[in-house]
Amino acid sequence: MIELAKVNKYFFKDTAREVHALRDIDLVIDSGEYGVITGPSGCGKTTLLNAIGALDAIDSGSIRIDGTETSGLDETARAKLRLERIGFVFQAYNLVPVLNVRENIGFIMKLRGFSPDAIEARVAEVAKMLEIGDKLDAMPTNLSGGQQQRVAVARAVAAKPKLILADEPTANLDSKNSEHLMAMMKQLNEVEKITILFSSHDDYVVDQARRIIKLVDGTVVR
Amino acid sequence: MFKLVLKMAWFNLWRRSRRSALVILMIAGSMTAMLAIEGLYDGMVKTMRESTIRSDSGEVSVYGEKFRLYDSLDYAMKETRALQKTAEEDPRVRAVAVRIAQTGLASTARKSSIARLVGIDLDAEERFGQLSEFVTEGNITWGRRQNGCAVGKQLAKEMHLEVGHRLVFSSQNVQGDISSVSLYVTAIVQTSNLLIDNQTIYIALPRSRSFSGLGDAGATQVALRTRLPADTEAVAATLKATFPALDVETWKQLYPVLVQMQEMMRIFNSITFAIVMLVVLIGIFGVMLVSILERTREFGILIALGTSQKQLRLQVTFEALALGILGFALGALFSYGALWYLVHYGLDLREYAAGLEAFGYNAVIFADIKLHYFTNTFFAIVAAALVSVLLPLYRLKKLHPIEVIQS
Repeated sequence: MIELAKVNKYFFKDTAREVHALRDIDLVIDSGEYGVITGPSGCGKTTLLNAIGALDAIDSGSIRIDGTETSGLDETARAKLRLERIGFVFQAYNLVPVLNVRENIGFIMKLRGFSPDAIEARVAEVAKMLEIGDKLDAMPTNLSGGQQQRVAVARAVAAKPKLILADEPTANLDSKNSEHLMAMMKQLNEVEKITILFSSHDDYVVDQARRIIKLVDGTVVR
Repeated sequence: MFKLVLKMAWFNLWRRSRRSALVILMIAGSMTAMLAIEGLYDGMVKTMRESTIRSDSGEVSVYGEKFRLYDSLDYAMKETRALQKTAEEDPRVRAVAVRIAQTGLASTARKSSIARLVGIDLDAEERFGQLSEFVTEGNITWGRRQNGCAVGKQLAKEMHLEVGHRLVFSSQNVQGDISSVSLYVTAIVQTSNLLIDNQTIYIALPRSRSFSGLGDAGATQVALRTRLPADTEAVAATLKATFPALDVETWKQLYPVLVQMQEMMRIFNSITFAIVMLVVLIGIFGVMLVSILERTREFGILIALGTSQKQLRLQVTFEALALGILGFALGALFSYGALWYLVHYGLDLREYAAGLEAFGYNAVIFADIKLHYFTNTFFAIVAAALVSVLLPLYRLKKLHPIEVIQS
């Protein structure tokens, strides 16, 4: 469960350019949810996602992931938290270009110290689930955008995190690939029982979500 | 994980293969030039030191007290048998040469010059320093009448002497009488020792004994070769203690210029070494900094995914070390090839022979090759590689994933 209480985040605080990006956000996201954060550009979707993912510090309030308070953690502890509990899917895929698909998918597992056999089995499992089982030896540069994003999802899922945060995952995909990706992520949510939270303005993505969190000017309006 | 990090580092190194190859070639090229210069400097000094020791001083030389000061037979050693016996029985000594040197006037029909007539035993000199290897023309033989002689190359040149030419040497003997000896040239010698090349005329030791009037037991110099260079000081100390009335000197005391030259070359080599290592450091630093700046986003993503700073440090450090070590390996190969050539064939400067030989240098300079050239360079390159990543690593440490994700 993710609990946010009175979360505030500023950029350029105490300067003429100050932006109050998140305003007193109170939010509870239950385990296993499949939700989307939506809203107009600049409303704070990515900022909220980054705060939940312990990528960015907040100025006040509290964020708890499965009871662990993350807002007071230092960078090392935040990195450990991200590694062990959170999977990320970025808009620009961000695969490691010098590693092949198999190594990219198993990357987080390697970081976490899983055994080679466990990594091999899990990589094969998620690759099959995401229909990239025949691409395991390919390099990222030889894949289409849709395939790269599926590899990024597989990488996020492989180590069985509690939570996957996906920032505009379909922004660089055509509609066919977007639908395909969303179907797969929904299946992962159901099969793996992983909490998945997107940020998106894509109507199709919003329609697929079981919970919609609408932000306007840094405030949750729905 | 370690293997994966190293693999990432290795493949990242070759993402900009031309740039990495250039740095590797730059390191290899500078290293080759540096080691070739170092080898030539060392070889030049070593040749001079060895030819001086072989042709004259040995590791230790014994003279009559004040002989070196006045260069007069009055101060020659009148009785050297006990000294020779002591030296020959010392297990640390491998060869002994007895010489009689006297300064006088060498004359031909056209030219005269100050010269040193040095009486030597050919067999003893061969054991002492392979004198025959210094012969550039003719063969050293004394002839049936013991009036053959070998002349230093510069002296022969000055006096227009060639093999077969005749000369007369006049000098004062130990009794104070002026006498002359007629000689014919059987060989020209060149040793890189200016004293010998510019002034010396070698004759048979028995002929010199009668000419100088020193008799069977007298000599002006008894030179010793030690089995090990490290024994030099100890042998000299033993002789000093046994023969306190004699002047016992090591080669370093007799030729301080050589010691200074050795030290000077060491300083030159150190400066060259420091400059080359600075170039290596700047080369690797430049590549690593640019590489990290180019991959800022990638590093940010890795941090976001949970990669620790330690793993990133390992990756970047390995990249720098791989650049340095590959440069070293290629450089070691090139350097060894260059040094092997210079050790066996030398650097041919015969075009400048006249000038070089006037200063006691050989016209063909042979290099020396030592293991420490390579070990020192290896450690210095590794150190340079490690230092070169300090700033890039600092920048990496300051990198916040959110900045690159949002960029």
